[in-house]
Amino acid sequence: MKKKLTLGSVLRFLFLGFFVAISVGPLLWVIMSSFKTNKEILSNAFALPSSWAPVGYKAALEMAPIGTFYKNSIIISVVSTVLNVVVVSMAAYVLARHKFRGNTFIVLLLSMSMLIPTASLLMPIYKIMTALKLLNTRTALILVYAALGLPTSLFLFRSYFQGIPKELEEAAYIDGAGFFRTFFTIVFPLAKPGLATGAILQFLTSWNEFMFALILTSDTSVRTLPLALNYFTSQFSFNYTAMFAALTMVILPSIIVYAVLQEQITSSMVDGAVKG
Amino acid sequence: MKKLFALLLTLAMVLSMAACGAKEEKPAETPAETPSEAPAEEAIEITFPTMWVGTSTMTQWWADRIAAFNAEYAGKINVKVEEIAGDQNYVDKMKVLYSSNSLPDAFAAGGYNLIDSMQDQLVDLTPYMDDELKSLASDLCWEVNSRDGKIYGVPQARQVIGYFYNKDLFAQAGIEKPAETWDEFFVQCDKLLAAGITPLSMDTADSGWVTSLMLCAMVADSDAGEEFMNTNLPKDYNTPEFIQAAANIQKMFQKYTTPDAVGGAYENAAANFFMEETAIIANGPWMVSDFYDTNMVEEGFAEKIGCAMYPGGVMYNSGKIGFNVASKDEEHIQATLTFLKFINSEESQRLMLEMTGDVPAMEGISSDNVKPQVNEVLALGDAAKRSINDFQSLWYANVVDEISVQYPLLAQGQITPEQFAQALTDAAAKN
Amino acid sequence: MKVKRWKLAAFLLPCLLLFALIYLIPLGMVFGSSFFEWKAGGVFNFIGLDNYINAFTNDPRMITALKNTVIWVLMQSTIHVGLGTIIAFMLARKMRGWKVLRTIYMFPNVVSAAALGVIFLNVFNPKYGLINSFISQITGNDFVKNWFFDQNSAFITVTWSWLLYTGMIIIIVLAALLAIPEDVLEAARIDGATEMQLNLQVKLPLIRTTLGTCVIVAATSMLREFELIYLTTQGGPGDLTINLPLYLYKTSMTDNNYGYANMMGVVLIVAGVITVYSINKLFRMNESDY
Repeated sequence: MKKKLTLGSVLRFLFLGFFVAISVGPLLWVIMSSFKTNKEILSNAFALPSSWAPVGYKAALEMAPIGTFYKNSIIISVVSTVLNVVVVSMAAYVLARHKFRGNTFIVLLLSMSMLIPTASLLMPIYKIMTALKLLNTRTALILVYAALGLPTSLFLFRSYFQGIPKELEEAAYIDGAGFFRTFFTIVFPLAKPGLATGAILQFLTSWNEFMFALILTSDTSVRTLPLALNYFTSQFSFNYTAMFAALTMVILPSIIVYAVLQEQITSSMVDGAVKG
Repeated sequence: MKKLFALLLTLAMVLSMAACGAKEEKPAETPAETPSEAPAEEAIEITFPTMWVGTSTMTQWWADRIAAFNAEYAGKINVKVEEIAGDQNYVDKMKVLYSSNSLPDAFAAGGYNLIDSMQDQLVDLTPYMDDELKSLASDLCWEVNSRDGKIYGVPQARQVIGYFYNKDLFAQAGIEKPAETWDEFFVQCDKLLAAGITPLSMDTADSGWVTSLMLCAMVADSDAGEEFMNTNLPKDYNTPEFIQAAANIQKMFQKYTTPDAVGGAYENAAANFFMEETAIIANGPWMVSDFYDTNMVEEGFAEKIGCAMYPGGVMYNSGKIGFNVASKDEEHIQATLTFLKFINSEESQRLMLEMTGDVPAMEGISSDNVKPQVNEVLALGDAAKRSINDFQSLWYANVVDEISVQYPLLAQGQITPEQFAQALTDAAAKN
Repeated sequence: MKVKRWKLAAFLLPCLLLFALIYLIPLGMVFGSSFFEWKAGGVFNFIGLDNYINAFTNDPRMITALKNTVIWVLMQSTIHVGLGTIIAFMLARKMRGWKVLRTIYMFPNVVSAAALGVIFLNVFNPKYGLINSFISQITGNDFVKNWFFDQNSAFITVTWSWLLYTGMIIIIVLAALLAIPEDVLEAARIDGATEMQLNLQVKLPLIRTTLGTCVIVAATSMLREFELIYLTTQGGPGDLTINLPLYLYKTSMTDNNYGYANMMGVVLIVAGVITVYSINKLFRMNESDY
């Protein structure tokens, strides 16, 4: 079937194209800038670099402990994501499916957590982590990040579970499956697209968080990637080339990981348990 | 599907165990060398967060000094260094630590004044002043680190600042030498403009460092103004000198600077000067090493750069806030002071001058191994008619912050110089 | 179906524990200290409602911050969610390259705010930025506009940095659209519904709770938005682009006025609870569709 070139399709193309441009443009610009000298960056932001030698990358890796930060970012993001998805999906399921007194109250209470401004959280959480002797550990960041994503995951998962037909669960009950088994073998797999979406968002939250990483840790050996960016602009000196190289090294993997995971969800949706 | 979940759970457990395992290692705590011969006494651990990492001009000097200290005091004092990149991050973290009453043993915020906001948790160093410590800095530097006769900081550097100008661009505009009065200064700006050259590098972000140096130098162009610029924590900015200076800054923004000055940070101002798009920038001698860095500038740029005193013979020539101590017990205070004496020793200070261009707090330190402009600035400092201190050391932190908010309004004529002065006065009143 | 209470509790408990660990004490602290004059240096006095009264009668910056916060919340929950939903519907037709687009639209959300701030400052830089270079190229005249710091453009430029980046909304809505059972749509098609009718009258109502989630996520993200403003205009010029979280940050970090800052925290939390509650009601989010 061949489509005709209509005004509508041209407009749609322009509309979608505009958003592609503003989404990709800045990132391409960062990557391009990572090959330019400081002089080139500051004279004309959009000229091509005079050389594509990875000088900036070498400088960035020398100046900041990027390798260690990488390892920590991966460990912390993955563990906090798994923790978040498992813990929150169980709660979200109960809150979505079962009417009981206090249900709404719990939802509102939990959703309050996304309203507390970060600046108000810093000092109390610092004290809590000191008391738990978790200061300067990855565990502290894992717990905080899992909690930071709690409300978003909760809403996502809850609305997902609400969208899953009840009949499937009821059939399972009739077959004699218990509550726990029904959740883990029937509901959890059914909600996989929703859970995957939540997991991605949670991963990104953990990957990009800066303030708590700065406050709760002090050893370079347990710190994460976002802290690397400031190594290249200090009070009275700056190295833009190295900064953009570091930016690229921070951005690219998350984009790649994201693109790969995105494919995962798609295939899981094609499996189409929902259709069943 | 059950398999998937089991897999997830296993993964979670393995990873959290890995995380815990890694936590217990805590590799950074192990000092570079373990004392083999004197195990009787446990090394005292003191904490020091540093902002001298990455691209900072102090990075190399600091790495060199900490290695030397560790070599000399191995097994006795162990300095646990925390790297905090970015001065704003540094100050933010200190504030959180302060509010949780857990400041590190020593810290240095790069000239930011944390003494007045954290005084109650800082160690009064007056009882610890011995001849050795006292000799490490000039009286003026100690004074800047004192409040009501008590000493709260060990000075590290002097603050000597004039401005730099591009001799080539001056020659193109037919200017022979730097101005001696502000009237002449503005005549020179007009000449530069007429020759198609933007006269001034300016900024507004991060308290508008470059711009504020100009502002305060203008304020100090009279006896009353000079006194104002040597007053700690001024509350009233509604003075004729201040308002006049603010009016001049407004004129500079509107007429004599680059389009990216409003909203720009130090980097933008410096970049314009490096690219020879502006003729004048106010800043200190630590900038000089960049004049020779061909990543930043064209070959031969440094030869074109001259140093000048502000009109009226004004120079920033004062002490800087140095290292503050917040140790909780006597043992740690002693260890921290040992560390600071080492970091500020004559040898360390000479190295600092040579490696960073920052001016030592101790009098009489000089070296043949520094760039000519650094010595020129020092000479200007000694010859100045009026010596003042800088706003970041003197003013309330929130006033310094408020400058960045108000400059864009002043620049765009949204507020008058009088309103600018009033806004800073209001901010000061919040303390 | 009836499930034993302890089983429900067992499912809720881990989540509640996590919440209690991280949020409960801070929540209590924010609420409690908002009634105190609490400043650096050990100042700690009970002053009742003085912080609140002061804020609403005597603090123009507070009013500006509040007003901007409300405007941004409204824009984000309407324009931002609307745009994302429209794009999601377009992509749901699975034309060629829809997966690629879905991934690309997410890119800016993948990048940390710290990186985005730097990027936007450079894109809108008056001297060499992308926008000005672009306009100069087209018109042939030297175009200079200081987007982030000009009175007339600052607000809209700051808004740009989040309003148009709808990747998050797109993936959430798209996932919901693709999860709609095929037989429901088939039934409607048999009844002779056009594509447009199918979208507006069948699909849109079916993803109601998901849209509610989107609005909540969008609205509350604006109640917390801080980094992008802090990294670009810092609330300026003047107070033009200040919002409540930024003002809170400044009050706490530069003025060291913790009690007053926490009062703003309470205002934000209360505003948020009201927002979440009304969106919950508006989208009837407690009811299942099936």
